[in-house]
Amino acid sequence: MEDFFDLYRKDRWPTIFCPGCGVGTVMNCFYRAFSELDIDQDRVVFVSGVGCSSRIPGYIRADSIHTTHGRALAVATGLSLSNPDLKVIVFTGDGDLGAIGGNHFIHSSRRNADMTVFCINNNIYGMTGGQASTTTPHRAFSTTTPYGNMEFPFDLAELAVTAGANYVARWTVRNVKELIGSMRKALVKNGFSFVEVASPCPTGFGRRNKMGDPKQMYEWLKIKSVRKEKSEFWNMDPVDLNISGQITIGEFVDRNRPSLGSMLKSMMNNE
Amino acid sequence: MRLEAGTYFMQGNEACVEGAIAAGLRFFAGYPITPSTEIAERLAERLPEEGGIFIQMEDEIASISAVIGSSWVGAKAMTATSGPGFSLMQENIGYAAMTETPLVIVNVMRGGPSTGLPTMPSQGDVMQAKYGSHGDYEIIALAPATVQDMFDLTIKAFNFSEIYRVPAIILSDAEVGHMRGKFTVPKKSEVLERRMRTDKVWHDGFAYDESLVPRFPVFGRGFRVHVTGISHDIAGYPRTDPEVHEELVRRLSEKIIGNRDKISLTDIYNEDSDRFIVTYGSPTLAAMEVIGNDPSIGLLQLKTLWPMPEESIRHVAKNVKEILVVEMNMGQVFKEVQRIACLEGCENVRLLSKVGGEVHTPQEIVHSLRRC
Amino acid sequence: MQVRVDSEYCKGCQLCIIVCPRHVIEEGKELSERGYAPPIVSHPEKCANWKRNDKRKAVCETCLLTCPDHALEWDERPGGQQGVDQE
Repeated sequence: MEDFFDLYRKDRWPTIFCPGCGVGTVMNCFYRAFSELDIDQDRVVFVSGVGCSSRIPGYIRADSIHTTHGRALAVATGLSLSNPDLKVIVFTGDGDLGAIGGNHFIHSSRRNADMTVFCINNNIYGMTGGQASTTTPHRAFSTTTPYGNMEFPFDLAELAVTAGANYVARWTVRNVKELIGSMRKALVKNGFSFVEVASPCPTGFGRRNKMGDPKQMYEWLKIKSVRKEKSEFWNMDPVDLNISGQITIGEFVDRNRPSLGSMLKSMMNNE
Repeated sequence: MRLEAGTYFMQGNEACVEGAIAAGLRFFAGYPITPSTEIAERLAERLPEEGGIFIQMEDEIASISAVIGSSWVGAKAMTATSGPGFSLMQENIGYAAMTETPLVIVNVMRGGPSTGLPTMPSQGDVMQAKYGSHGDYEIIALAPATVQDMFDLTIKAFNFSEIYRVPAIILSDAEVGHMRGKFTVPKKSEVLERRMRTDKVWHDGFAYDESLVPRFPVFGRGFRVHVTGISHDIAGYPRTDPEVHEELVRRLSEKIIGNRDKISLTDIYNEDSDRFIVTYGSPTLAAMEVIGNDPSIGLLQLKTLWPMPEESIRHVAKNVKEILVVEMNMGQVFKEVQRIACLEGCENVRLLSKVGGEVHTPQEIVHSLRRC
Repeated sequence: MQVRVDSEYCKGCQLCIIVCPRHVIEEGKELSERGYAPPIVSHPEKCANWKRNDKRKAVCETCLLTCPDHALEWDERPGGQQGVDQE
């Protein structure tokens, strides 16, 4: 793959995303990671749910399925089990994966279903205009939390680790090089691999939190993100860590539990 | 291996499993729910023998989602559930209709609403099967009445779903599902496959011909098709133009309605009668006994519920004085029959409804017929 | 080689300006056809890739990787000319 538009559909460019949206950055990084690996584009299926991040598969020149809200991982499970030769890649967001699809997220991690999941976490429901999501920071503002978010956010990466995923990493869109590295690792991993990308949504999240300019959101991500190794909170309860508002970045787990597909295969071969 | 030709004694749900395997089932995803659980249990054992995949998902929404995914890599896929699970599946039934995904759903109906009567039969999901998801769309629904039907109609459901690229629903009920009985496996059953895309042209994954059913661009063979539940053009790209949406939605309905005569499965007994019972599912057995004792009464058994077999109902309504619709709900097919019979000038359409979770007895039907 | 801004794709988010460690890119004033203000490559000679002429050997590339709209690309012609290359 030589060119960006060998992977993406040039006839659909420019994208629908707002100026400064992190989704585009993730698409760049994904192109770099994907093109460095020798994966046949015709043997990959892209799956997504509903939301801004879930629009990515529609721009990719490959088999892609844009499913109902939250169900991407369940659809991906069916896809990968029925044709284990296919590489299944899911693009999803915090609302899609953490809220409406939370159950599928936990169970796909637990099963170690064969798929690579990229979650673009922008702390907000962007496509519907900026409502609080499960990862909106405590006391942050949104259209549905006009007095500040009284709830506490989810730590999606920690959730995947606990539930049993094989590979889990989190970076912000500022860490493009590390992100590409993690994407590459996730793409070649067997079983459930998960990369969360903390991403700016200047339109939905930024404007209501005094960060309407994409540059301000980048500054915010820079201040809030702390490498796992340097984190003072590393030994603390992940929920406390979220209250502190810190975005811990780094690789959280890299292991080789047998995947669902390989377990089913060995079950059938023994008979 | 599919069951060899011969006669078997099984439960309705088990016969359904054997029908599905005979039809070429490759993938089942489900979630336990009474009274459909035996389907999942038997498939957990049978499918790996056939080289297929069985998976128990975390809920019914995940089940139908996995089935949709599986169907897009070309597998014949199915799920089984009952009322509450069927309610959860509704959004994705609409999605499957919109994206023209072939799949089969077995709904072993139980008493509702809500948790209702988990172990007792009902026929309360007939309207939901057709109208449960939002928007205008068509599905195919079949209603088995016997263990034999569970086997035969399951194969039919797969055939219809593959040919018309539409969700096919088997509206069984707790009575038929749990009934044990004799059924015959024929030497050969007609098994149809979906028309696959063979050329490698990009950008028109949903192009259709006069059959109105696009050829299936299976994932993983280089068609690079984009599938979305958003209103889409023939390339599969999201579009919001009124013309594109109208063309799509009208075609999705037309491809089913236009083939109503091919999909409508009905049995008519005592055709010359001037009093007719119209029924489907488990009440059919009681009605059979009634007409066995009194040949002056006719019986129309609907095996297809959606699209409604209008021709058969009109044919019956033409020359009759009275139609009695027997069903285990408060009148769902009744209203359809009333509407259609009216077109033929037959206004005397009555309903014998029962919602307690018990099937109609022949005496109740006879009694109801005497009252007129 | 130097980085080039594609004003057809650029949405004027200016992220390239803040991620560039060497201050190669500056804010633009002129509006593009789509109503955005694409940035200007004002100091291409400061870029780490100024003396490289093969994009496969490019280093850094943070601006290209960050640009959400694929509006930045390498102009592989030998460097030397100052200012913007807006074609």
